[in-house]
Amino acid sequence: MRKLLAIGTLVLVGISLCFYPASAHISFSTISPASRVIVTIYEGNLSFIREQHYLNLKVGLNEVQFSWAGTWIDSSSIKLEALQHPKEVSIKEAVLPLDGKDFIIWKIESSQNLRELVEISYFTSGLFWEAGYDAEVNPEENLISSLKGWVKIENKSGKDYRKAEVILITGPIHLLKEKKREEKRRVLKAIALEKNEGSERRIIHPQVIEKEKISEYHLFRIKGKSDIEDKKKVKLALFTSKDIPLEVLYCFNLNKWGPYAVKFYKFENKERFPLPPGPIRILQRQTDKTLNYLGEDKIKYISSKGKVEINLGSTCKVRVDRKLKGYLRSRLQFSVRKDLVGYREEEKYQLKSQNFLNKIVKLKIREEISGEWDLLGSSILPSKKEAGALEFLLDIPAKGEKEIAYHIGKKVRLR
Amino acid sequence: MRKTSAKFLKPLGKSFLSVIGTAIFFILISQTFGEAKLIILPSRESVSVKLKGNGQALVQEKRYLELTLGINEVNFSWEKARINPDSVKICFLQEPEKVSILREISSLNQPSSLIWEIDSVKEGKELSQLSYLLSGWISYDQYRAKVNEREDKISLEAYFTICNESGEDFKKVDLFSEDKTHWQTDIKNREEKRLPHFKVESIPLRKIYIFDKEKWGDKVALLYQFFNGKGSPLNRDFIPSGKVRIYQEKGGELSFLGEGEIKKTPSNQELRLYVGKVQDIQIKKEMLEFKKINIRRNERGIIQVYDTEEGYEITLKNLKEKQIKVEVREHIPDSWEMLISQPEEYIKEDAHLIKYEIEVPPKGERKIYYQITRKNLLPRQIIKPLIY
Repeated sequence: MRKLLAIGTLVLVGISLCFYPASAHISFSTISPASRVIVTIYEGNLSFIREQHYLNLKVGLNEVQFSWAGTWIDSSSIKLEALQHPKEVSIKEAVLPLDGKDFIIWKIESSQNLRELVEISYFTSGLFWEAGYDAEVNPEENLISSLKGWVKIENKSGKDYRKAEVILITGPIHLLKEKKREEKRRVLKAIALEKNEGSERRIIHPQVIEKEKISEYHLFRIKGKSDIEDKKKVKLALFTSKDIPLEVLYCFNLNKWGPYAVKFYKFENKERFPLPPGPIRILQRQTDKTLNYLGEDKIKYISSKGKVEINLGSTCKVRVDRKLKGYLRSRLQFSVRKDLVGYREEEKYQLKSQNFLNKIVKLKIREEISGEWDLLGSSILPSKKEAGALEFLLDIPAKGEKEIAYHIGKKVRLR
Repeated sequence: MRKTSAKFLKPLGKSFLSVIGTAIFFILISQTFGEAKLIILPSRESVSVKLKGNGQALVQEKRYLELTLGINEVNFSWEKARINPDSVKICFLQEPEKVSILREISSLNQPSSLIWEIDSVKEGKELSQLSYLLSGWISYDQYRAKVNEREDKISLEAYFTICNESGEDFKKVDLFSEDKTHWQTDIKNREEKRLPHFKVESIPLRKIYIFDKEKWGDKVALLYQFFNGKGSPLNRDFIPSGKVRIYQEKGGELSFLGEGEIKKTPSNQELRLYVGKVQDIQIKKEMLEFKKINIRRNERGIIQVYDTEEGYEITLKNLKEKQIKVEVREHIPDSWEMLISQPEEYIKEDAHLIKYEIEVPPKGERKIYYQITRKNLLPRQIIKPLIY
């Protein structure tokens, strides 16, 4: 069954005899299985594969066939390069038959009898990767004792990649739109047809896809060699960070979460590499060593030294009651025609925060205020003031409560 | 990498894995790992189910794995159980430093199974903890509240109902509700169980009569008020929400008073339980005055803004034989000022709500009169989106 799937293999060109009448000048090279496979998986369903094989080349013309039926390999991207003797070995042409068979035949001219290392590279879709994290938090909730990053690699490409060196690239790369690529393929096909009568197309030096530089992207190299088999998903460890200082913050935002505060964990990505987006699970080691599950969230792309914020959900433990304590409409404005054109609204709010926990909590209150407004006064200084919101930071003692008040003036324009 | 052995982790429940599934997996494993052997693992040592309140539960089970030196393969598969495959996790409890997980492999054709490749430098038994999120749980609380004849004490009995639609049977499971109450029980798939949650007797009770037209219409509502927190027999972290059936005990007999609802309430808070509308307290609210004053018009004579003066009279009649206290809640929109208030004392709850507390003697009557002026009111056609 595996053999049926292992399609992208190099075969002795003897098979291609049925397509090419034997010529005295053509030698058929024998090949060994890939000696090295490098799989680079990008975000957005694109992977770049490099397979290195030894070819036994004879003086003169050699033919090598590579086939990929049943896979998602982009035929326009397949390329063969001689790595050791580029001067002695030259690729004359690549032939792709147009009758639906997924294979390519390279005609390789060699000036010597050689055992040559060649690299076959191509793009394929159907390989995906996703990062994820398990964070273990200490009982005091001031330290992440271990942050384990892992990666899940899913193979739906139709091809097995065994003993592969795996490189993962974060960040979406620029690709030509599918239509354009299709168009390009169509044109190439037409050119090939023009050049060659009959049932096959010939492309000299096939190189179709533009490769983007990866200078702005981050790259993860999986240690050792991995088997990435078709129709399987493999989860591998990526890294482990230890002892990361942790901050607990409760956040209140009535519009977003209602009267109960939501608990957040905050910590810094102290690694020199960024954290790719993915789910993060928060676990806590119990006295009997078992792991308890505290919650789960998704993190966005976090750069090195960037802050990670994890939402652990609403708790019943910290509550804020918000009351409009005063309201006044004043400072009416009229036009020359005595139309009411605007007025001012004054609003006084009272926020009573209660902590039902046995420890002091840090609470961030975010009040979303729309329209054009000024802060006229507040019982404590806001920690942040934006066009559409006010934020207050407060410490609430264990089992205690705190009250703050603020007063805003809004300008309302009618016309 | 030489594969020394493979283990087959089979959960207890019959529903988890069919024989066919096993056979398929056998083929799959023997294909993938060539020399791999299948060993049926011992059953669960213990299992706990912690309800998360969103239909999901965290399941944690302990099993002994018989490890050999080198690479071990452990397969965990499930057929009908509603396990979130991304949540499945294994960890080791005795000598975790000697056992490490190299890879976790799942087959896309077999979405409900996983294989762990585990590297062990120890030989023999190791206790593992397997955890995963399992959905298909419905749980809720229901209450039975009993008030005494004098209606000054209430007993509250909570029952926890749990329905298992997870696809998995659990035996001797340590079950934890959202508020961490613990039971040890059996619960099969497609089974509903009602478990005693908590019972508290003789909680001091106050009867509250409230008139709030916006909330309960033209009648006075009766609420039972009691406290959860320090100093009260009811002192829990929080009271889960749930339906309450309210009974009164009178001369050894129980009579049903009605149904109410408890909202999720944290500790140190009063709980108010709406019982129903009261027949023998009559209330009438009348508008005695209303005038638009200080009207400002534009050049075309259309009203732009105005003030009002409004007077209201509320009459409370107590048909009972005993004195009662009624909380009268009046909602007053816009910016306003009080001109006259009889009685003088009222509580301004917030910018748009005032509250009178009125004692009404047995078979007696009391009146409230208040006059307000509302300032700078906008006729409806002028009001553009008001922001709050």
